[in-house]
Amino acid sequence: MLVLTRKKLESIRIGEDIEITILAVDGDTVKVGITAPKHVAIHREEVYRAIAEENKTASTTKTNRQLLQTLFKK
Amino acid sequence: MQIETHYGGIVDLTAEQCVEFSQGILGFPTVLRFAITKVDDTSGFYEMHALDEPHVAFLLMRPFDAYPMYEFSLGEEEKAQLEIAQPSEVDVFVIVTCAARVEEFTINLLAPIVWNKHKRRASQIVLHDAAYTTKHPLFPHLPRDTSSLWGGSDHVGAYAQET
Repeated sequence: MLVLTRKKLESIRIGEDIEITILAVDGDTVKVGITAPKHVAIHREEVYRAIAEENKTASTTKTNRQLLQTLFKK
Repeated sequence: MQIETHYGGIVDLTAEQCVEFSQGILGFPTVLRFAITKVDDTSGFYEMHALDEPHVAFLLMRPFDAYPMYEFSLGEEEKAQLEIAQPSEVDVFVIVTCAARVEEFTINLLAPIVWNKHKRRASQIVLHDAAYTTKHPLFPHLPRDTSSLWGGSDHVGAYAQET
């Protein structure tokens, strides 16, 4: 892992078109601004993990068609 | 094209049922082509089945059937990615995670599937600033620790199967 030290309002550039700027630092909270091309998906790590794990669980759990047919019957 | 679905058996697909993701579902970055088929005509459940990976399938439903007040806004970039010109093109689904008991079924309101029916494109949108999570009970008003209205939990459990 590359480790860099940055001050407030300083930036890091990744490749040609991704720029990460430290916008504010308050105690142990850092506010980061990211500029990246539209095709680059940006997620908070724990949110990304939670969704990826939920997707994997969902893809491996199945139920019975007859049960589904009863669930929303009015 | 034919596929074998979990809930509907072998289905002859129409072009309208096929959809392409520009970025994969999170956790499935290389699975991009799916078919969305109805489980049946009345229940409101759909199956989203990968065209190139026979074992990857998701159970979907419209979030509003369980959470009528559910809402989010699509960003301009997401609209552009999905080539959305007007709201009537958009259909919204969420992924259902099944469990042994109906009380434990959950839906992922944090990351809905937005489908542009006309352009046949879809994306799993992450709602960055919403209060939703990946695990909302499908039946929020159902007690989760007692026998259910569905004839008792043992009865329901007998239906469930995990593969």
